[in-house]
Amino acid sequence: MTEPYENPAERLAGINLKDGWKVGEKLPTGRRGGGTGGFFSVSYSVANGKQQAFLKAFDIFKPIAKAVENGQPFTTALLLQLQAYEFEAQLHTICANSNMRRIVKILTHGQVDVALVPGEQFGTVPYMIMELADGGDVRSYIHNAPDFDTSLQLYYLRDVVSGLNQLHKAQIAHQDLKPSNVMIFSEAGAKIGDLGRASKQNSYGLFDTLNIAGDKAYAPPEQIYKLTLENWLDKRQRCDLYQFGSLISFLFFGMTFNTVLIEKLPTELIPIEWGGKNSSYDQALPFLTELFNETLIQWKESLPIWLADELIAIIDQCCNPDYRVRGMQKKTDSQLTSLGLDRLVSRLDNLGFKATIEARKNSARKTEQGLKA
Amino acid sequence: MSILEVNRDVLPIWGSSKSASDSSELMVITSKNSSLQFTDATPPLLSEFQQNPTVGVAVELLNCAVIERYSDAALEAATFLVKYNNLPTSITQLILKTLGRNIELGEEAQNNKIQSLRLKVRQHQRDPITWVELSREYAIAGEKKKSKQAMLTAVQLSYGHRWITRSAARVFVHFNEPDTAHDILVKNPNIKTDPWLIATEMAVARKAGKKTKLWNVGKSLLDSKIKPVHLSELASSIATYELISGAEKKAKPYFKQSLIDPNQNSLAQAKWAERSSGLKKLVKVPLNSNLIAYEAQYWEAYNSGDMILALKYALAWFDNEPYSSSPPEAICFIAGLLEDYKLIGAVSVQGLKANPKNTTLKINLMFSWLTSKKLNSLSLKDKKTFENYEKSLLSTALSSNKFEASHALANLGMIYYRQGLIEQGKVYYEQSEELMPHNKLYVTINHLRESLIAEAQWSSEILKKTKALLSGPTSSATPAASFYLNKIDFLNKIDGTWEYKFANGDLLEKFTKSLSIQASPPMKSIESIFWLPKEFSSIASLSTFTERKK
Repeated sequence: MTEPYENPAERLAGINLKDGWKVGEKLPTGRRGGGTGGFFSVSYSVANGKQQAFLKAFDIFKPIAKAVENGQPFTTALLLQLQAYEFEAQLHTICANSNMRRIVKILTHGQVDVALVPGEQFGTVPYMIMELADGGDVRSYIHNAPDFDTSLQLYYLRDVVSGLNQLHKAQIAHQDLKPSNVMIFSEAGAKIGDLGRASKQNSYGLFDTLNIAGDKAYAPPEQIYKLTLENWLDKRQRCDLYQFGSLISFLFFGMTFNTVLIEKLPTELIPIEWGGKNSSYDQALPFLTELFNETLIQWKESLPIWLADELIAIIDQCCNPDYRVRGMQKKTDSQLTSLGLDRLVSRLDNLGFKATIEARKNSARKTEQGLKA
Repeated sequence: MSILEVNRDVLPIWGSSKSASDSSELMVITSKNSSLQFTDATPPLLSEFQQNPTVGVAVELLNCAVIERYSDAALEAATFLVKYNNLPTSITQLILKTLGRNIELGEEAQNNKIQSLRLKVRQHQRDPITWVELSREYAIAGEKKKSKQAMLTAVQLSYGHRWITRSAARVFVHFNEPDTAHDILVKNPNIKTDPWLIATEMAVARKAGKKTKLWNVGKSLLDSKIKPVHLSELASSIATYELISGAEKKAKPYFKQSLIDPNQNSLAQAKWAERSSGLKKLVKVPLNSNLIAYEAQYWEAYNSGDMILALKYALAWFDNEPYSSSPPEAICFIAGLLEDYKLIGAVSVQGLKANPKNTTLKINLMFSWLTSKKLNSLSLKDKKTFENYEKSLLSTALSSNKFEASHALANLGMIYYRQGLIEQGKVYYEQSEELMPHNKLYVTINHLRESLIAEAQWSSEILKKTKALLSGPTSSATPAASFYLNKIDFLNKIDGTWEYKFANGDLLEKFTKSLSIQASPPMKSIESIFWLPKEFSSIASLSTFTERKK
C-alpha cells in the first residue's frame, strides 16, 4: 500500500524552529495555490511559550515542478521562487519597520530543513511567522442577524482602508485584498494580511507582469478585460480600492460587483477571462456602468436610511467600474498621486460612530417597549 | 407607399441598449493574447468550507463558484446558506437562483419610461447608457431638442464608445442634421481604425452630401485580417457607394463580402440592393428562425408572398426601431394589402409621434379614418374633419415630391369612388399612376379594389391592365400586386358584394390558408406591441389600441 506523497511544506507539524517556535496543526485557510508562476503555501499554528502565532510555509516545489514542466530551466524557476519569498519578507519588514499597525505583523522569517523521504532531494522550506488573529477573518462579520452590530463592520472597514493607506504611502499596493485576507484581532481591530501578491513601486515583483495579480474573482474590470495601464496609481492603487469596495459589498450585501457582473451581463459582454466573449474594456464599460448604477440603487434600498446615502456613495467611489473615477478626489486628473484614502478613513469612522448611536437608540427603544409591555 | 421607394443606407440600427449589449458590435476588433493564468479560487475555498462550514466561508464560496462557474460548489454553498433567514436580500436572491427556485421580482413600470430614466440620470449623472436610452425615448416621443441634448451628454461621457457614437450619428440623421452626425463621428478618436465607425461615416457623409475622407482607409481595412463580422457594415457601405454611383459590377463583390458574417443592417442593405438594382439573389434571409434581422426578414417574407409573416416581421421591426418611419410605413403597406385599416390608423398615430412631419404616415392616418366612415352620410363634426383631410390631400397632390403627390392623388381617388363620383375617382387614380413610374402596379391594385367595390363598368379593364403590368418587368411592387390579384381571384368565386368581401376578415383568413403558406412563428399580438394614450379611446376605430394588453 502506498501513501500519498506530501511535499516538505506539508510536513512541518511538530517541528521545532529557531528562536523557540514550535509548529502546531495545519490550518484550513482557503488560500489558493498559485498556478503558473505563483506561490503555494500551507498554513500552521505556531507557539513560542504562551505566544500563539501563524506560520505560512512556502511550498516552492510545486511551482518549480510546474515551471519545469512548462519548459523553464530548474535553476531559473528556483531563483524566481526564492526571489518572490524574499520580496514578500522584505515587504513585511518594511511594514513592520514603518510601524504599520493595520498590516498583520511579521514576527520572524527563515527556513527549515525537514527530514527527506526516500527519493526526495531537497527538504528546505522557507517560512514566515505572523501575529495570529484571535478573531479569525472578516468573513465572520457578514450581516446575518436582525440585530447585527453594523458599527463593527464599519470600524473594521475603516481599519482596512487605513491599512491600505499605510501601504500606499509606502509605495506598496496589496493587489489581493479579499475577505479572507482581512484578519480580526480582539484588541487591535482589523488588519490586512498576506502580502504575497503585493507590488512595490519601482521594484520588480514576481507578479508585476501579470494582468491579474490577485484572485481573478476579485479583480477589477480593467484587469479582467486585459486593459493595459502604465500609471502606478491607475494600475495598482485603484485595483486595491476596487477590491476594498468589493469587501464593503461582501460584508453588507453578501455579494461583490463581480458576481453581479457575471450574473447579469449577456455573454457578449462577459470577459473572456470569465468564459464570456468580450475582451474590450472600452466597449463594455458603459454597460458595466449602467449595471453598477442599477445595482447601487437596489443595494441602497436594503440599507437603513441613516446609512444608505453615505455607504452607497463610498461604494460608488471605491468600486466604480470606470477606474478613472475611482477615488475620493473630485477631479479625475491623471496627474493625481493619491486616492484620498485619509478622507475615506474619516468617513468610515464617522459612520461607525453613527452606527453606535443608532444601536443605542434601538436598544433604548426595545427597553422602553419591554417596560410598556 | 414610399416604403417601396426608400433610398436605404447603412446607417446604424439604433436598438435599445439591451439589444446592443447582445450584439457583435461591442466585441473587440483585434483580440489580445491571454495572460498567464492563476488557478481558480473555488477549489481551496470548497476544501476550507468542507472543513469549516461557516456562513462567511459559504458566502465567499458561492460568489467565487458563480464567477468561476463551479456549479456543484455553488450548489453546495447555497444548500448550506438557504437555512439562514437573515442574510442580505442580494445574496438570498443568488442562493435561491442557484437552487433553481423562482424569485419574485417587482415588474418594471413600462409606461413611464422617460420619467424613470430621468430619475436614473439624476441619481447617476455619469451613466452614458441611460442618457442614450433617454435620448431614444425622447426621439420616440418626438421630443427633438431633449433627445439631441441627452445624446450629446452620452457622447461626452462615453470616451469615444463605438455604439454610443454610432447611435448619436443615427439620432442626428433622424433629426435631419447629418452635418452634426458627421462631426460627432469624425471627432471619435478611433475613426481611422474602427471599421464600424468608418462604415457609418461613409453613410452619413452621403446623407450630408459630403465626400468621405476615409475611403482609402476603409478599403484597406477590408483587406486586413479583421474578422468578417466587424467588416460587414463597412463592405456594405462601400458597396452602397458603388451601387449609387452606377457601378453595379464593382458593388457586387463588396456586398458578397458584407454577407460573409452579416448583421441585421448589412442583411437589410443587401435586400435593398436586390430590390433597387440589377443585383438579384444576393442573400436568402432565414425566416421562422431565431435570427434577429427584422427588416431583412420583412423583405424576405414580402418577396416570398407571405404577407402575414411580413406583417409580423414589420411589427417586430417597429418594436426594435420605434423612432424610425420605415417600419410603420412597412406595416401600413402590408396592412393595406390585408385590408386591416384599423391597424394602419394605430400605427400611423404611433409613427407620427417620432416623425410628426412624415407625409406618408399622415396620409395613411387619413386613409384609415376615411375608410372607416360612410362618406355620404357624415356627421357635422366628421364633415369638418373630412374637409380638412380633403384640403390637405389636394395640397399634397401638388407637392414636388412625386411619391407623396401620387399617394395623395390615390387617396383622393378613393374618396371620390366612395362618394359615388366614380369617374372623378378614376381620373385621380390615373393621375396617381402617372406620377408613380416605378411602382405603378401598386396604385393600380388600389384602383382595382375601389372600382370593384363601386361596381364600376371599367373594373374588368383595370383587372386586365393589372395582369398585364404584372406580366411585365418586375418591380418592388410585384409581390404585393401578385398577392392582391390572387386574393381577388379567390374572392371572385365567393358570393356577395365586393364591399362585403373586402371587409370580411374570415374570408381573408381562408384566402391566406389557401395559399398554403407555412405557419408563422408565434409572436406578440398587435395590441400588445402598439398602444395609444387614453385620449384616443373616443375614436372607435382606435379604441382597441388604447389599453395595453400583455
